[in-house]
Order: sequence, then structure tokens, then C-alpha cells
Amino acid sequence: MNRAPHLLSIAEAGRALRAGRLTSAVLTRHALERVEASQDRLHAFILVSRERALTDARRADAELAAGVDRGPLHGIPYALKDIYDTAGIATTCHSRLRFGHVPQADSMVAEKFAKAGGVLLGKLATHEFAIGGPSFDLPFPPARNPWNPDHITGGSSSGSAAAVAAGLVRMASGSDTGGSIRGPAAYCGTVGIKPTYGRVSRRGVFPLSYTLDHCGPLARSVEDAAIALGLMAGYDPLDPGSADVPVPDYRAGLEAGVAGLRIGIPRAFFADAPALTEEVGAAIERTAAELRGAGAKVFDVRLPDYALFAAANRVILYAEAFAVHADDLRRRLADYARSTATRLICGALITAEDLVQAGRQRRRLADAVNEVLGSCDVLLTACALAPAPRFDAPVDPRALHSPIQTGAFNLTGHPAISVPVGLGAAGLPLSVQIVGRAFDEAMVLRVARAVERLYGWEDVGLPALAGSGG
Amino acid sequence: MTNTVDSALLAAELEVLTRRAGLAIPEDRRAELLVAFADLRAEIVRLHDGLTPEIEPAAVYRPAIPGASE
Repeated sequence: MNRAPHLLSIAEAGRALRAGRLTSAVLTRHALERVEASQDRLHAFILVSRERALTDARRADAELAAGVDRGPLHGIPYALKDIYDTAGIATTCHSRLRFGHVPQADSMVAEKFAKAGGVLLGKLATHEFAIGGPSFDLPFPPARNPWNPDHITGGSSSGSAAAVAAGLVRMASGSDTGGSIRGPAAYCGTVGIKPTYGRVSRRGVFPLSYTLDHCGPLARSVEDAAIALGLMAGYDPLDPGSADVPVPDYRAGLEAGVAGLRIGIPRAFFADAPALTEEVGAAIERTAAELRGAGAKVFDVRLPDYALFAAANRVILYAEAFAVHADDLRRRLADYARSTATRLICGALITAEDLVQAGRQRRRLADAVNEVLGSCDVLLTACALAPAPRFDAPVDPRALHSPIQTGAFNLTGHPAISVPVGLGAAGLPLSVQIVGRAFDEAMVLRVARAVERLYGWEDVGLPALAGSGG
Repeated sequence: MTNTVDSALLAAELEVLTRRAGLAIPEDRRAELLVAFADLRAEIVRLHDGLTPEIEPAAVYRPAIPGASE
């Protein structure tokens, strides 16, 4: 084997493990060394579960030697965003309020990954309770962008994106309430898929907004993401939002291409957005042209103003998040990061009338997206409107200028993926977003794979682990 | 919903709503909360445009019959 273990896809590593060319112990020790080498620079991990990882790896090797094969994640290192409960391992939500909290049971996803033979490397940084940050007034530092640590990762799945982008793990769990998987994926140059609402159980994942929260993976490639999502997905009667819908083999149609597919572009979403940079706009146009060249029919579609989606998403998110945190805000306000507290308190400022109206708009907007998706297979649109900003860049508080256009599909529940389309002039990743019909993640992944192949993202090297800059 | 633009009124409203929620807001955080509140209010106005009370759809709850598919 000529390539370093961390460069192997999940499927490639799995083949090497089964052929006896690699052991999970070697793969895991290599990953742990990379985590250690990167930690001072990236702060992707809050906790490294070294002993658990080595135990998982030894068990995986022993099982394979004994003919026990748990599937594609068997012996493969992964990590979890630190809002996913892990039995016997601290789960802090990157917050002083949950410091030292050790759950007694695994979250559903952690349980599934463990049963699938995965090797848990540890718990990953997040924006506090998946809503604040990046903050420097917390017990742990914020994760930094592997392409240039002076730049943010985006959030809230900040450590997940940093860890995958730096090649520490091929796959990590994330959560997405307004774009917390797709935003960091876009800023860090990873694949990140928010599946359909209800597709992945949220049991044991600390809630932010009951009706907007989605769990999903961030991964180095579309194939890795398809494998991870396949393991995460499935009905869970103990999650009231879970959907009893069969889960297909997400890898089966990945290479089917886009010939004959209909791809709609809701151009008004992003074309006049103040935050849109020229190079992101050009990347979307180039992607559309490439897909057209690959045989897809690409055309503009009309949806209501993006700002209306964003407003409804924000009101529902803030109201539900306040309901989650109200008691702690009353008793322990000073223990929250300042930015987290400001956002959460906004939930107390929303009236009943506003919340009802947001709910009515939500239905109307979901109907509008469903109608458009009746005439096309997927939507192609912007994800991040600009590359990752610097940590010291001034924050524009106006939501209308939000640099990420993701919350629309938390509101409507449609599956959406961020896929890298190259590096911009500053050496930071650019991305596009593909959106599909409810429960048709397979189509979203198929088109994303075509985009990945057209751009050759797999051939773009990883950012350096040491030194400054990208 | 009140489309308040007067900053004094907004500050008064912030005071009432946070107190009603049982929150003790430190003095040094009021300015940034007011900025966030004004921003939120501007956004909320959009939710009321063109969706009057008599227009469906409403955010209704549909009881499910056990065992029946949608």
C-alpha cells in the first residue's frame, strides 16, 4: 500500500483491512498521531478517547480475523460532535453548563456506529449548544479552519468540519438546525449532508430546536458521506420526529451521472444577495455549465424570497431554543458564552403571534419547494456566499446579509448537501448546495458525486497539519 | 406583532419581555441585545407580509390514525 492510511477512503480502507494489508490498530494509531499533531493548531477535538479508540481497534481486528464483519465502518476511525451523548464519555456541548457531564447511554447514532464496528477517536468541538460561537469565553477554544487557522470553520459543527478537512477522520457526525452541517462543510471543503427531517434519529443529541434539528455526517468525499448516512439513517420510535421510511443503499446509484436529470436553479435566492462574492457566483455558474455538459437539463426556477425562509427559520429556531434553555438562562446566564446568551435571549422576545405566523409561512414555503421539485430532480444553489471569514472579521448582525443560505431547507425539511467545488483565490474552499425531494437523499448524493467528479475535488490535497496559513 | 422602530420603545419592550421571561440582563449586555432585537424585529415584519389571518394554510395539527398510512 503506497498511500498514507488517512488518504484512504472508508471503502478503500475497508478493502485493505479485509485483505490483511492494513489493521485497524495501525489505522487508529496513525489517526491519533495526526490528531495530536494538529490539536494545538486546529482545536478540532474537545476530548480524545485514546484508550477507547485503541480498544475498539483491537476488537475490530480480532473480529475480522475471526470472520466477523460488521460492514463498511468496521475498524474505521470516526468522531462525534460533542452534543451526541456517549456512554461513559463526557458530553459537554462545548459549554460550562455541561462541564463534566457523563451520559449513561449512547445517543442512537453513537450506538449505531459502535455496533457497526467503528473506532471512536473522541468528541469534537462545536459552537456552544450548537448555536453560539465561535467564542473565546468558553472552557474550550474554538476549532480553526485547516486551510488557514486565522479563518473560522463556520458552525456549529466546527470540530467535525476541521477534523474531516484536516484528514484526521474520514467521517464525523454533525447536526444542522439552520446550516450547522453544510456551513462548516462549505467553509472547510468537506462534504456535508443534512438529510430529510426525520431520516436520522436525534435521540441522545442535545436539542437546539425540536422541529428544525437534523443529524447527519460530514465526510471527506460523497462516497464516505453515503456510507456514513446509510449507517445513521433509520426509523427510531423513541424520536417523535423520526420517519418510518425505508433506507436505500446510498452507494448504489452514486456513479449514475446526471444525464437526463432536471436541475433547477433558484437564482433569485443568491444572485442579488449582498454577501455573494464574485468567485462563489462564478463557481455556481461553472457548476451549472459542467452539469449541462454532462447531460443534465439545467434551468432557472422561482421560489419565494430567501429572506422569507430565513425569517421563518430564525423565529422558530429562537423560540424553540429559548424553550430548551429558559431555566438555565434564568439561573446561570453568566455561564453561557456571551454570543450564545444573546442569541438565546432573542427567543424571549418573540411573541405568540410571530411564532404562529412563522409556522403558517413554513407550510406555505414547504409547499412552494415541493411544487418546484415536482418539475426538477434537484435544486442547485449557493451554500456559503463567500469563503470562510477571518476570526477577526467584523460580524454583520443583519440576517439579510447572512453569508450562508442553508436554513431554508431546515424549515422545509428537504435533504440538502454541501459539496466542495475547488479553492478560491485566497486558498479557501468554495462550495455549492444540492437540494432534493423529501427522502430522496440518494438523488442528492448522486448529483453531488457528479459535481465532485467534475471538479476533481478528490485530487485536491489536504491542508498542511503544521505551520501557519493554508 | 409591533413594527417598532423607536429605539426607546424597543428598549422598553426589551425590558418588559426579558423581565416577563424571568431573565436578569446585566447592564453591559443591553446594548448588544437591543441591536439583535432590532434586527429580529425587522426580519419578523416579513412574516406578516401577504399572509392575512383568513388565508390558509394554517400550521394545523393533523391527528394520525394508528396503523393508517398517509
